[in-house]
Amino acid sequence: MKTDINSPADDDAPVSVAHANTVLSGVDDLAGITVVGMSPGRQAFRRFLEHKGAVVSAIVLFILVLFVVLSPITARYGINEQVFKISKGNNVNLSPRKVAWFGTDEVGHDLYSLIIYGVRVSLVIGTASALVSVLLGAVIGAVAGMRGGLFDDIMMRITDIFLAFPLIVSLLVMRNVLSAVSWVKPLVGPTGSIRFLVILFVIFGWMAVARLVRAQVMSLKEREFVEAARAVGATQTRIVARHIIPNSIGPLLVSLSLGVVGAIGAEATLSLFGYGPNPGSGQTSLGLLVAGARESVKGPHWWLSIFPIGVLVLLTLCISFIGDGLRDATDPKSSQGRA
Amino acid sequence: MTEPILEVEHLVKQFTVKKSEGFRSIKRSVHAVSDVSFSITGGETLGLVGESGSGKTTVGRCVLRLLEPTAGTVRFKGTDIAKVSAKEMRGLRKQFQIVFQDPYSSLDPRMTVGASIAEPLTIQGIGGDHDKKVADLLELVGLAPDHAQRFPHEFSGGQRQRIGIARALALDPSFIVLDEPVSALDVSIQAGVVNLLADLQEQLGLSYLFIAHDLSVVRHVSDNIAVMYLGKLVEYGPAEDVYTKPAHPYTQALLSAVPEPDPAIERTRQRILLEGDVPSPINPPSGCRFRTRCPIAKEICAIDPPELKDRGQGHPVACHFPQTTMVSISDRTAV
Amino acid sequence: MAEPLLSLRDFRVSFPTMRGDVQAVRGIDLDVRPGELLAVVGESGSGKSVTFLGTMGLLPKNTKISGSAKLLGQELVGASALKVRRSCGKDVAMIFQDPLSALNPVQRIVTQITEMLQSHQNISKTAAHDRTVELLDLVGIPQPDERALQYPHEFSGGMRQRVMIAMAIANDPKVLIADEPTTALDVTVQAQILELIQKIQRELEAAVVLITHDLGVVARVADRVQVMYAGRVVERGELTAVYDHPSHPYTRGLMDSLPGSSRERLKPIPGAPPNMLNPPSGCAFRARCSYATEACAAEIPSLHQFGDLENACIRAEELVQELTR
Repeated sequence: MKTDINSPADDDAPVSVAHANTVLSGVDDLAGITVVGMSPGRQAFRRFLEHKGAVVSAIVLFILVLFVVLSPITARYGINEQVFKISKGNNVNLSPRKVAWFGTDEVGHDLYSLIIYGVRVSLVIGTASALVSVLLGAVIGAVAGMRGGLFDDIMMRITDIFLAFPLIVSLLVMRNVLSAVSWVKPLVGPTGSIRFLVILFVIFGWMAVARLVRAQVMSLKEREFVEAARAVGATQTRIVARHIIPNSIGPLLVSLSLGVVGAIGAEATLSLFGYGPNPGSGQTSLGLLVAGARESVKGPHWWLSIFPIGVLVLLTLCISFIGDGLRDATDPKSSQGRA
Repeated sequence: MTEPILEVEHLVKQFTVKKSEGFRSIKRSVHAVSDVSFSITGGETLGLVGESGSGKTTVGRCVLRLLEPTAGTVRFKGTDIAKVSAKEMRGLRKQFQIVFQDPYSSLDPRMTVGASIAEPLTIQGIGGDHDKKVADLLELVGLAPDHAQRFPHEFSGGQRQRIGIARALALDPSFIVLDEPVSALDVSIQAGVVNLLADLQEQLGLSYLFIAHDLSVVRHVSDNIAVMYLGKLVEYGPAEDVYTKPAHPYTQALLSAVPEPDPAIERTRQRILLEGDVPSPINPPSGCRFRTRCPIAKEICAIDPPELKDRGQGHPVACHFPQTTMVSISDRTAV
Repeated sequence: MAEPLLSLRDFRVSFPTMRGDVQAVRGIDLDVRPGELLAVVGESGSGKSVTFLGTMGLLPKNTKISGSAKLLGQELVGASALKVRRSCGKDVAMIFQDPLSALNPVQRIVTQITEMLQSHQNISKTAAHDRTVELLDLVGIPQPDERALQYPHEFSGGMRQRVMIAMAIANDPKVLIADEPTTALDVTVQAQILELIQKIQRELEAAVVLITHDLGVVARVADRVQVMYAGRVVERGELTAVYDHPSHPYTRGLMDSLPGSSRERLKPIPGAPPNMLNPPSGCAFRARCSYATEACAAEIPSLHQFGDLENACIRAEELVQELTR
C-alpha cells in the first residue's frame, strides 16, 4: 500500500499520516511521518518576512548602519573639516550643492557628514541603553515574577512611582542629580558623555521591560511544561533561563526595538533643552543637530533642520516598523493547533 | 509485591484566597483536600475519580509535592516526602513522576522533543549517552527515534502525549501520577495511549495514580478506585466492587450519570439525577459534604461527618446510610 | 415524511490559509426532520462543527462555502448577511460548548435575553422581561426573577449552559443546534443538561442537532446518528441500527476502541485523522482501515443506502460477514 505524505497544513497544526495495512509491530497509535519541520524560530522568521513594512525598514536600517560603520569612506569630510580646504570665500551656511550634498552649517562643516557622525552617536546611545535596559529589566522582572512576595511588591511600586511622572521631567531631574552628586561621578562618567546618557536612560528604561517580563513569567509559570520541569527537580533559575525567557523572546525583541526608539527620542528631547550629549572632541549627535537647527526652521537655512529631522524620523520609523514586524512574527497565533 | 509504595495519610491542602471587598481584604480558605488517606502497592493502579471541586488534581500534585501539603504525611517507600528538605527532595524526585493532561501545553514549544525528554537527565545530573536514552525511550512509547529533533507542534495530540510519557520515564521512576492523561485526546486515539500505559506498567513494574473524570477509562485501567467529593474520599475499594456495588449515594449518582454507548441500556436504565451544581470548596456544607445534593440525606448527615470505613459493604464508604441495592450500570431494572 | 427543516446538499466549506485551502467539509447531504434528535458524531477534523457553523454564517468572512443549505426552504448559502441573521436566532439557534465565551460578561442575563427576543419579535420591553423570567424558569434556574438580573460570572458552569439554552430557545426555533454542549461539564451536570435538552425538544416540538464525540451521550438521547470523518458523512441511520450493526469500518473501529467492562487490551484505530489541507484521494479513511483495497483510493465514496443504514464504504456489502455481530 502506498504511503501518502502530507505536508503541514499550518505551521502550528498537527501533521500525520498512517501506513495503511502495514502495522508496525506492537505499536497501536502509529507514529506519523512528518515532513521536515521548522523550529519555532524559523517559523517566526518566515512570518517576519511577510511583513512588508518591516522588511523594507530592515533593509533601510541596514543601509544606514552600513553608512555609519563605513564612515571613514562614506562621510565626505572629517569631523572638524571645513568644506573648502582653501578658504575661498565663505563656507558658512551654504545651501546644498555639489561639494556639500546637504549644505553646510554655521561653522562651515558639511551637514551630510555631520549627520553620519550624528547617527553613529545616536545609534550607540540608543542601542546601548536599550540593551542594558532589557537585560536589567528582564532579570528584575523574572525574579519579581517567579518569587512574588515582597520583592515583587517593592519592584512594582517603584515602577508605578516612576511611571507616574512625565518622562521628560524625570529625565531632567535625574540628569541634574547625577551631575551634581559627586560620588556617582566615577560611575557615570562626565556629564553628557555617552556613558552618562546611557546610564540615565537605563535608570528609566528597565521598568517597562521588567513589567513585561514579570507578566510573561507569571503567565508561563503555570503552564504545564514548567510544572513538568519542576517535577523533575529543576531549580527556579533553570526554569527562568531555559523555559521562560526563550518563550518570551518575542516580547523582549519588541521591547528592545521600542527601547531604541525611545532612547533616540529622549536624546533628541534632552538636546532641545540644551542637556544633550557632549560626546567630546567636537562630535555631534542627531539630537544635537536637530536642536542646533532650532532657529533655522523659520529662517532661510532650511537644510539645517530638514535633513537632520528627516533622518531622525526615518530612523525612528524604520525601527518602529521592525518592532511591528517582530511583534507579528512572534505572536503565538494558534500555538494550540488541532486538526 | 504487597509492600505499599505510596502511603498517604490524612492529607490536607488548603489554599488561601484573598477577596477584596471595598477596602477590606477578606481571606478565604479553599478546602481543596480535607483528610484523604489511601495507599498504593507496587505494580498497582489506583483510579482517583471525582468532578470539579473534588480535589483529585490537588491530591495528585501534593503527592509529588508540586504543591506543599498543608498537613498529613505522604510516605513514599517509607520516607515521608512532605517533611524532607528541598535538596533531598530533588534527589527523591527521580522515583516518582507525572504525566499531564494537555498534550498541547505540557511540552515546551521551543525545545525539540529530544531535549524535553533529556531534560530530566540533565537536571538530575545523570551522565551517559543522553541521545541513546532518548532514542530508547521514544521507541518504548511507540515513536520513531529519529523524531527527537522535531518540535512539539509537528506532532499530533496522541503523539505528544506519548512524548510526555517518555519524558516521565526518563528517570526510571517506580511511580507515576497520571493526571487525566487521555481526556484531551480523540476517542480512537485514547485507546492506544491506554494500551501503552498498561504495557509499560507490566514491562517496568510501575505503579500509577490515575486521575480522571472519565469513569469508563478509569474502570478499565484501575485495580482500586477512590471516589472523591469536595475534598473528601467517599468511597474506596477494588474497581469491580465500586463499579458493580457502589454503596455511597454519590458514587451511585456518578455511575448512573455516565452515558453508556449502548442504546438498550441507556434508554431503559433508571437514573439518579442530582440537583444543582457542585458546591464551592470555600464553604463546604457541614457534616457530610454531599448532603445538600443527596437524595437520602437525613438530619444526622448535617451534624456528623461520616467516617470512611467498611460498614459491611466489603470496602470503605463514608456514609451513614450506605446502599446495598443500587442502580448498576448493567442493570436494566433498577431499584 | 414531513418536509425537512434543514436541508444540506453538497455542502462544502474550506478555509483559505497561507499554504492553501483547508477543506474542512467536503460535500455533505443532510436532512434534519421535524421533531427528531440527530446526533452528529466525529473526532477532530471531521468537520462536524464546521458544517453547522457554516450553515449559520458564523465562520470568518473569507471562508469558502458552496453547495446548498436550506432552512425552512430558504437558501442560506450565498444569502445576504441580513437574511442569514434574520433566520438565525429565530428559526434556528445554536448553543456552544463554552457558555462563558458565548455570553457577554458585562451584560446582565436579562439584558442579553431581552435583546434576543426584541431583535426577532415585536414585543415590548416589559413583555420581553416577563418572557425572560419564564424562559429561565423553563430551563430550571431557581429564583429566575432574581437571577435574571445577575451577570454570567455569577452562575456556575451548568447554570450558564442553561442560560445559553434559554437564550437559544427564546424565539421558539424550529431547529436547535447544540455543539458539544456538555463536553466541558461534569458528568452529573451533563446528565441534567441532557435531560433538559430532551425536555425542551418535547415542549418546543423542535428538531435538535447534537454535535458530540461521546458515543454514550448519543446512545442516551439520539433518534438518528450521523458519523462524520474527514469532512464527509460515512454512516447514518437510526440509533439502534447504527449501534447494533455498524457497517462502516470507521464506526466499527470507534465503537471497538471504547473501554468496556473487561480489562482486555483496547483496540484503537491505528494512525490519526488526515491532514485536510491535502486530503488523501478516494476514501479518507483508507490509510487507517484494515479492509482497504486499491479501489478505495480511486474515488471518494458517496453515501449509499445499505439495508437500514446509509454508508460510504464501497466494500460494505462484502464486509457484512466481518462487521455484523
